[in-house]
Parts: sequence; structure tokens; C-alpha cells
Amino acid sequence: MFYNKRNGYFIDYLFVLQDFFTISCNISAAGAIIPAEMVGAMATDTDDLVLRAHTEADALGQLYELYYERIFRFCVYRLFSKDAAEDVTSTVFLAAARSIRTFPGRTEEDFRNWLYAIAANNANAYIRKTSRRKQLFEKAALMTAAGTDNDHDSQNLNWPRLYAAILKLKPKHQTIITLRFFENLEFEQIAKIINAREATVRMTLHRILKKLRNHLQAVVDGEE
Amino acid sequence: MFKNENDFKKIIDGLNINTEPNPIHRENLRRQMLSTFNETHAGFWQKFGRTIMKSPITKLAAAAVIIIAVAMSVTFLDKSMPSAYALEQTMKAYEGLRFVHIKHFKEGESEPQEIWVQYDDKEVKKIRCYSPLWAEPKEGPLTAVWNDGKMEVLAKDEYGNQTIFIRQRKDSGAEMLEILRKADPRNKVQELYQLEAEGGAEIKTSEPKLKSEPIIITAKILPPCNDAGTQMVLYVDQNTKLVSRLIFNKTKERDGNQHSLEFSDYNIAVDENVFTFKNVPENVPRYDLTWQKYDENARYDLSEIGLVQGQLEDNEIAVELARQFMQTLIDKNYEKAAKLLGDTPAHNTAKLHQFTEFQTFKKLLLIEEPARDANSSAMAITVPCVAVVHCSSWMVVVRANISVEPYMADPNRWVVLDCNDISNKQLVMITDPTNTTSTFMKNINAKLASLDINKSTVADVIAVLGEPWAYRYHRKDLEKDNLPEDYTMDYPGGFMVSIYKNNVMLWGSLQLPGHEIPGYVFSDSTQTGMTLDEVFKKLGPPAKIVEDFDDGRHGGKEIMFEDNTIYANMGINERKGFCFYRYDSNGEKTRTYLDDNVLYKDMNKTKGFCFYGTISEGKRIKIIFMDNKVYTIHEYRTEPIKTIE
Repeated sequence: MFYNKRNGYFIDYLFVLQDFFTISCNISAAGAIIPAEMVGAMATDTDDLVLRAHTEADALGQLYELYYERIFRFCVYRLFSKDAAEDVTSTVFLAAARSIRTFPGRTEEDFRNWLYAIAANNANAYIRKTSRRKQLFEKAALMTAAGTDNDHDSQNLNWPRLYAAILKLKPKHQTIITLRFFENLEFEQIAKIINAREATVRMTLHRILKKLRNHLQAVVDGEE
Repeated sequence: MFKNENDFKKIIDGLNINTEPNPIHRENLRRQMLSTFNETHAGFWQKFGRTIMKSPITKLAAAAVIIIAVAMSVTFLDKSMPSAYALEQTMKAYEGLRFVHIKHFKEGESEPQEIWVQYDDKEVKKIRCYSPLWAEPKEGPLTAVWNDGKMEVLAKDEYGNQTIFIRQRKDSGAEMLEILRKADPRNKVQELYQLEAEGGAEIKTSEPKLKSEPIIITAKILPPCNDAGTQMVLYVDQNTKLVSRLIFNKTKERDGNQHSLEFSDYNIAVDENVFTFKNVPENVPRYDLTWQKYDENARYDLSEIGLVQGQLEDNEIAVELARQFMQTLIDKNYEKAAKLLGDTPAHNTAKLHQFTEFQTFKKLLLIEEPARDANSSAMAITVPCVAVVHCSSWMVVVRANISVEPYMADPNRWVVLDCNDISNKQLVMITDPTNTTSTFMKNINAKLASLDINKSTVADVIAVLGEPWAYRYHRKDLEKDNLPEDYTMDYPGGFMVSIYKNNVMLWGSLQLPGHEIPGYVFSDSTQTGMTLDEVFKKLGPPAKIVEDFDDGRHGGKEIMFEDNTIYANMGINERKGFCFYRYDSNGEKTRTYLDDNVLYKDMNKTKGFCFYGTISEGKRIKIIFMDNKVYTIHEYRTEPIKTIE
């Protein structure tokens, strides 16, 4: 794996040509002990990372680095609060760590969809708890009343108002909105994450937007 | 208000939502996550066990276990044809079983997984299990032996390099027995017997009149069992009543492939060595990892892992850990070194291998400023260690970048992650108070004249040149009394003789810095320090000049010499010259040639770095130039070697 010891002749070639050449020419190439191929192998594609993550902590750690921000961002969009987003993000990755061994996916896409699905479920579960939902509403309302940096015109939509309106939708519909407009995912991907047909997602989104428009109008009008 | 999707999207894009994560949460969660992962994936042997558990054979066996647990009704489809045979007869036949050889075949795979077992009166005594690549896709082909409560594993990497690691855990035997239990013919029959008694499958028994034909027992697993639909077929020898073959036809939902077990060599004694690795060559590295302790949940005993940070700052613990680790390598205390590496035993062995395969660390000279390792985890710190790795007529000072980080399962402990790079920093001539170098070099050409590179043996060389200052393999010292078949003998002043398969392959010299003593001269004409012009005035001009040649070694691809390629210029290969392999992006080997009589100039984008090979006066010579001056000059044998058995 790491070495190549086909014969001493080869070794001497490297010994003379590469190692001492490194000294004279001040080239910072890796010594013969770690063949360049191994360095190349470190830049494995993410699919391979996903496969290795089934059994290797290092690979899982690398996937974590790749996906932490995306999942955290998704949670912020879904939960409005960074504290809540941190809680749910933690739940997501800990759940992934516990069950990645049995995760049947083999590609980065599988892994990404899996993580988003866990995140969506956990975010929805978080919101479903009445007290938390109420807190999120209150927080959004408070910020709407206080105004934000981009809230100079009460007729304009700002993030708290929009969030308050989104929160009125069904949890699954909230997920679709977030994945589509905040995470910019394709319908096909959304369909895989929420385990639905692509056509269904398209149709549902069309209906959700109509509802959302009404909710937003009510929020802007101060009716709610 | 928005009218459609696009409008809504514009609104979203215009929002200024702060999604900047908190780095502390990020890092804490990372540790927590990896700790969780570690807890549920503790230990290589658990992984090994799991891998085996995931293997089709165990999945198949698991089906039977599940069936046993679920009481269902038995349906005898063949009631109209009562059979004289009963499973009890086979169970009886297995009493007193001493040896059996089991082969597990997977549809589409030619190589079977194989298990050899020795029993005593009541229980299993010894096991050997060979798993080919299809059964161990992650670990590679593995052979495990369990003997006298000790488990040893022989692993082979993709290049065929072997490593043995030894583990002794109180439950390791149980793990091996569990592996066997799922392929043991006695268990299979017992399971089927229970099926018959408790239900769970449609069972059909066919007993041919001809005694030479086997009894065939067909069992189809019924719902609600997870493996419902799977069909098991047992072939039982009518004379011995022992099972000769067991076929599983898995449903598509489970596996889809057909697997079969073949049982043979019943009670034929197996050589003791089958259950050991005594026949594995001694030069295969053996790592005894019996020190690795586990708690009752098979997790590592953390008191054995890494160093406790205590009150030390991150940089301080990093430096201390790197220092201790380098010292363990210098002291050849590999047991302690393995404890400072915080990985699974299998990976630890590989890492130790990486550190020790090609060099012997002699002395730690200096630890340079540690720095956060941007290429690794957020908490990793790289500690550059400057050390001497080889001492003979000269020494090499290398910089080894040791990466360390908090241990996943216990962040208060720090462990060595890896060595990112070991590169030469400086070549140093060792002081020669006895003036041996001058004396040796003074007579070197006369001595060599009495030798024939194609015919002289190692003993001849030593008789003429004397004992070398050192024997080495790459940058690793070797013991004179325990030499492999490939090695290099270092003589004073940078002169070396390389041995390949116990034959003299080349000799020559390299220009040591500051070393001005005239030394080896090839054919009375060419020596180190000469300019390109001077060389070609002596040897004749090159037939061709290739500029900016890139041999690929700095392009991220490994090169490898093929066995016998060295003889390419002797008729085995049509092309003349120096040939080596490199790997392309697909991992395929491709040949690269350095043709004879061609000057490869400014190679690898380095001015003055040149290569030239030719045959002059019947002698094969290879020259490497640095700054357009001869840096190394070596004469190679021109005749094929004779393998010395």
C-alpha cells in the first residue's frame, strides 16, 4: 500500500536520483518513503470517502468537514435560531455517526440526501414541539417588530417575516421551501430527500407558494 | 408580493441571513461525533468481525438463526414420499468429528473463502480462515489463524506486501468461533433440524435409490422471516450421512447471489502448520499487539493510548508527543510507538511500517516550530522533527513532519496521527579520522579492475574491497547476519555496491558534498564532478538530447521498476535503455523509458539535472548530473542474474 520494494535497484534509483536530488535542488518533493501516488490517493473522490466512512473515522471526519456548514445553514433556515440550529445539527451528525455503518448509500449524493433527510426530520421534530414552535414564532415576531438591518420598509419582506410565514406551513412543506429556495436543490434531489416523486414535489411546491403568498400578505398586513 | 417561483427566489436571495457557524460548536461536535463513531466501531477486530458478519456467508447463516427464533408451522410437501433418512443420522455422524475443510463459494467469484477446522472431543481447537478480496473488500485478502487462544492475522496489501499482527483478547477466540459457527456443517444440520421441529420453512427430502447419489434436503424459508424466500439445499452423502454441500439461493432483496458451502476432508488430519504462520517468511513484519487492552465492551483501554495533555498548552503537548514518538523510533521501542498512535491496530501497524520501513532513525536533532495542520482536522498540529536517519560513510538529515491531534475518544489525550512527509534536508559527510576514505578511494579503480560485475559474487567483492561500512536498504540499516536478497553495501567516500537477488547489480559512486578526494573512475575516463562537455568528450556525443523530460515522479504518480526490466537492454525487451513503470491516473502501470545514448536534460523542470545511459567499451553506465556535473556514476551488470537459492 505504502511501499514499493520490488527490488533494491529501484530503491537505489530513488535513493540517488530523488532523495539526493532533493537536497541539491531544494525541491520539497516527498521522500521516497511516501510515494507520490499515496499523496495523490489522499485526494480521493468523495464517493470513496463515503464508502470508507462506513468503517473509518477519518473518512467520516472528512465528510463532516464537507457537510457541517451546509447542514448547519439548512438548520438555521429551518429554525431561525442559531442555538436551535446547533442543537439539531448536533443531532444530525451524531445520528449519522451512530448509523453510518448500516447506511446503504455508496455515493456522495446518497450521503448528502441522507444527511438532509435526517436534518429535515429532526428540524421538523424540533418545530413540532409546541413550546419550541411558539418560541420561534415569538422570536421572529420580536425581530419583525424591532426591525432589522434590511427592514427599512415595513412593506418589504424581511427574514423574520418570511420565516413567520413559512412556519405556518406544514413541516414537510417547510422542508421543501427550504431545500428549494435556500439550499437551491433540484426537484430530483428534493424528491429523494423527502422520499417523494419529482412530479409530486413540483406540484406541491406550486401549491405551497400560493399558501405562502397568502400567509406573507397577512404578515405584512399585520393581520397575524 | 411575489408572483411566481422566480420572484420568490429573488426575495430569498435578497435576504441577509447570517448562517455563519460557531467554530467552537463545529469543533466540539466533530469530536463528539467521532467519539460516538468510535464507540460504535471500537477496535479493528470488531471491524474485522463486522466485515465477516457482513459477509454473505454470515448473512446466510443469520437467516437460519432468525428462523429458529421464530416458531412457525412446518409444511411437508413431500409427505407422500416418506424418506428413510432423518437428520438425526447426520447429527450422529458428526459426533467425533476432528477435522473439516470448508469452502465458501460466491456466484461469479472464482476464488472461495476457505476455513480449516480442528476439533477435539467437545469443541473447536484450531481454525484457519482465508478470505479473498470479495469477502474482504476493505481490508484486502486476509488469513486468520486461531490457535491456543491467540489470533494472528496475515494481511496483504495491493502490492503483495505482507504483514502479520498478533492479537490476544479474551474474546478473540469467541469471535473466531462465531465466524466458524456460521459455516460449521454441524451447526447447519442442527439448525435445519430445529427448523424441522419448530417450523419456519417448507422442507422437502429426496433420497435417491442409488447410494452413490446424495440425499437432497430442500428448505424454503417462509414469511414473516426476514429471509423469506431464501432456499437452502443440503446434499448429504448416503453412505457417511455427512453433508457435502450446502447451497443458498438468496432472494434479490437480500443479496441476489447464490452462495454455497462445500465440506470436504472430513477427519483427514491437517498439518499443524496450517494453523500457524510458521511458514511465512521471517522478513514479513510481525507486530505483536497483545498489549492493546480492551474493556468489557471491547473498547480500547484509553489509559494505554497517547499522552495526557494535562496542563500543557496544545503546542506544548504536540511537541512533547512528537519528541517521545521519535525517541521510540530511535529506541526501536515499537510497542510504545504503537501506543502513541491513536488508530486501530491494523492502521497503527501500517503507520509504523511507514515510519520504519526505509530508514533507521538514529538521533533527534531538533524540533522546529509546531503549526496547525491545515490539511488535516482543525485540531491537528504538525511538528517538524529534524533527525539523522542513517549513518555509514555519510549520514542523512531528514525533516519528518509529525502530525498530532487530540484523541477522538478522549480529547484530553493526544495521539500521533501521521507523518505527512519525510524529506531529506541535508547530506552530511561524517568525519573520517582514520583517513579510511582516502585510502579506500586511492586504490578503488585497481581493485575494481580485478572484479567482473557480471561474474563476481558478493563474497568476491568483499574479498577485494573489504567489509563495507554499512549494509542498508534504502535509508534503513541492515544487520550483516540477517541480510535480505536485495540491499546496498556502503563503502567510504560514497562508493556503493548494490545487490539484487543476492547478485551484484551495480557499483559506483556519488559526489559527497565537500568531498574532493578523487575516487571511482569509470573505464579510466569518467568520474564524479566532470561537466557534461567533459563527459561527452570522453564517451562520445549523445545520439539525441531530450529537454524538459519529466519522469513523472513529481507529478503525483508512483513509479516502479518491473522485475527483469533491468534486462531490457539484453534482449528480453526490444527497446534499449533504462525502463521503469509509473502509474497513470487510473492506477494502471505504464512504462517509461530512458533510452540509451540519449541525454535527458533539465529533467523535471530543474536546470542542470540530467540523465545519461550508454554502453561504453562493453560496459553499461548510468550517469546523473546535478548542475550539469556528474553527481553519480554507476556501472551496471549487463548479463542476467542467476538466482541463488
